[in-house]
Amino acid sequence: MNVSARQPVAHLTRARLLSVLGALTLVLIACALAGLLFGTAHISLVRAFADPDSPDHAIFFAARLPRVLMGVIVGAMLAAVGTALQALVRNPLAEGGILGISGAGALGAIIALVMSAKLGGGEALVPLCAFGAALLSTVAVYRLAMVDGQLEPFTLLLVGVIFNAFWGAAIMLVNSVVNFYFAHSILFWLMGSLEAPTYGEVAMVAGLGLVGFAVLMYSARDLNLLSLGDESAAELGVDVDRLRRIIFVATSVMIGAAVSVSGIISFVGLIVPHTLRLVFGADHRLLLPASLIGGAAFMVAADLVARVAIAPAEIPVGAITALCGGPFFIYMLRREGRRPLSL
Amino acid sequence: MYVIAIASPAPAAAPMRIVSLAPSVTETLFALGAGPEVVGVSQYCDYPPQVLGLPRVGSFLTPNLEAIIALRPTLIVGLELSSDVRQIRALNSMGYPVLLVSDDSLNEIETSIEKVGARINRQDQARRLVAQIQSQVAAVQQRLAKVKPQRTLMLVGHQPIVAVGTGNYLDELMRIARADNIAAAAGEQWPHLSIEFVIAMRPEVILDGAMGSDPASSDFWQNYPTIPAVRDHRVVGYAEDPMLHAGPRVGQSLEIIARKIHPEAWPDGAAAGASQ
Amino acid sequence: MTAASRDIAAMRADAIHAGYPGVPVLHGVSIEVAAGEMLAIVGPNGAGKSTLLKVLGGSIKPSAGRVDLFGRPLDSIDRRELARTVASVGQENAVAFRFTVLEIVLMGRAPHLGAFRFESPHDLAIALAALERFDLRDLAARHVQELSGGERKRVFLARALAQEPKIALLDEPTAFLDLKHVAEIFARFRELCAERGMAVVATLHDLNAAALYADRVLLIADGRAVAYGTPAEVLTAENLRRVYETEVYVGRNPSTGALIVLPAAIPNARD
Repeated sequence: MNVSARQPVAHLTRARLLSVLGALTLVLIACALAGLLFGTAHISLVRAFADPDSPDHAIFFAARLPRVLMGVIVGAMLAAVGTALQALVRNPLAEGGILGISGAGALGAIIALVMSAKLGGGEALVPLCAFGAALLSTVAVYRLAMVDGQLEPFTLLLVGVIFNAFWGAAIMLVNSVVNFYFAHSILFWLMGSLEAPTYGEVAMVAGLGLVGFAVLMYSARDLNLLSLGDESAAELGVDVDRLRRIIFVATSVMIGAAVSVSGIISFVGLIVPHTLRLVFGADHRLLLPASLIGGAAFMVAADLVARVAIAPAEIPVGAITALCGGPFFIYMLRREGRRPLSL
Repeated sequence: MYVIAIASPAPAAAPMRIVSLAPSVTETLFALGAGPEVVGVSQYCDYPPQVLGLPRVGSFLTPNLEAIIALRPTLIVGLELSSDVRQIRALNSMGYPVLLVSDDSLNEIETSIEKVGARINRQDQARRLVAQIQSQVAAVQQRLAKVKPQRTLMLVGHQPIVAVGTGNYLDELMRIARADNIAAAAGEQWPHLSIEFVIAMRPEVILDGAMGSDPASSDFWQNYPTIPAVRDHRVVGYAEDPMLHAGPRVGQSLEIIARKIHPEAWPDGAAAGASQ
Repeated sequence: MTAASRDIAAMRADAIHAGYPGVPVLHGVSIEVAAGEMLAIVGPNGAGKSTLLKVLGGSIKPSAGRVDLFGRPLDSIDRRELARTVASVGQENAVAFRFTVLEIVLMGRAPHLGAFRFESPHDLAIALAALERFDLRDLAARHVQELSGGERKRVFLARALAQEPKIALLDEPTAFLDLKHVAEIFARFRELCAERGMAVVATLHDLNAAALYADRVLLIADGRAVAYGTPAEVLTAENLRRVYETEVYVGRNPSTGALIVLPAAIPNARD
């Protein structure tokens, strides 16, 4: 295929997939290394590995490593979910935070926490409640945004914003009736934070994320076909209803898991897929794994800023992503205004 | 799973490295003479003045794990209400000794001092400190023996009005100071009250933490002249006083509160006998 | 075509009643297409042309009547096998994301591929041939959204071709196309009918195109079949006056000898 320097590459080949993912992996490794090297305290990696009694070792293995791992996993999941949701609703402005899905997940997690504090035990229910709430919200947003069997992009966004506001209000309501110090935890849910995860949590989220992502990758080609419209996709052999249901469940599980350990972190699922799509094209067989890796890198970098910018105090990482995301979102809305349905 | 074993020092043998996560804990440690062994404090600690040069490790609700570990502490002291906080759990599972104390009542404050004292092998100093607090309290109670209880509202903020409710030590101090806490009816530690409620409850004294001791900053209350406290010019600020730290200076806090509510019990303007 | 293959119609629909929730559109329409044949469906707006096409393609289930594909009931055929046999091109050709022309055409290969397989050189060759046939070679690397309406229509037609269907269902395939491309599209499809025995069913506004290119014409109005047969049989002044409620002139094109249909009277508001 003869491709000039200015023309985009015509289609996805195995070679291109590997080279793009390879490059992104290098970026991820660089970000992860930075995240491991820097933090509130200055440590020496050499000492951390050589001397198991040193504070360097303790800081590295107990504070930094699980946190960077969690950042990788949560960032990867949020970005992959964003990509899938955008394909599902054919709108580049869709993602878990904006559509109110993480808000619902956070509310579910908070209610589970309050209940388990009152009734004792059952903390394993938290991710489960987060997932259930996320799923219900996804379905509700989707149903409400369907107009005559068509998914109107701006209706979807409007419904998502309303749901977001609603879940936020519900969270505030819970906030006002729980005691002062529990209210602080709720702030954590609202702004997102990767504070002090345990390796158990990391494993849980990684496991769920892996399964969810496998489901998404399996549907990658179908997601491409979905861009042509529900009818065209069906005519090309896609079981559109089944695809929708599968993606809903997979994304809700992934968002539920992420929210239950790190609260609401918005814009990752918007910024990362959009940027990658502009650079590498819209084929989901590349975009999904690229978002996975790119989202991980982005999150680790954002968390690094969150940790060191005003050390020893911490900024919630959701604030960093929102600071990046706000202007980005406005830029995108202005682009969409000029050319509907384009990306 | 990892477990980092930190050698726990034999008591009183090796020098201790203590990290404090709350201002009341910091004051207690210094009052017990363990000041030199404190290596890190929370971002809100400001008393005694020596702490201003110490490294900060976050707060009892958001302790910074890395900062704490980097100080190589042999003991971490925080508040009971952060027992659920992730970082505390992480520190626990890493094997760091963590002592959590509570300060929701005078009794608990005294017990906390004793617990900390026991942990750092300064039981005698702890007992003396507790005795001192108790005598300060008794002195105030004596002065107030014949006063008439005053309907009182004590608050920490205007918008929203956040009041001292029940279940915290300030409420208990108010009771000892012969004040009827009108916010007790709300049943919470820090209730958000509506101004209507305040007007309806007709407090005779208002202790306003959002005001300094400069009465000129009392514009807020001028809007509600029907409140007895406002009408009788008994709205008093306390922002610059040390009342919100539930530590060794609690006796002093009690006297400050009592003086503002019943100034007539100190007719000779005697210097506050309880301060050290 | 052998007598045997002619007996089994490529597609046959009997007494179709179909529509949308609360809105019945088709009332007992029957239609038949043979392999290698081009069938045009014509009629006024709202007659049910697109609905009929969707029933044939399987995206609308008829409330009564049946559709058979090479003798097998349509609803008994697995989705992907159907996609390998029947290709549909609708009127709307929106693409949500920035895909290139080649990527869109390659999507036509999807029914032939498993979940994880990449397109093989064989698939690529078919896609390129489809691009070639619709004069899109130079646009292969361009993004679909940057193209004009007509170019985009051709991309979708090429995609349908890449499916290697035995039957193509085209809804207004020549809308947005200029005169040159209208002729070319029909020429290409006629070639495909002849070369591969592909059956083509197209809804058309343009009666003259129907007359010129179609083997058979179905004229429908108000959801009912009015006439079915060769263009000369169906496109009579009588039929057309009845259906379009306007006078028409039916004659012969002096240079080609083909049937032509022209309005006969200019409507005058004052009459």
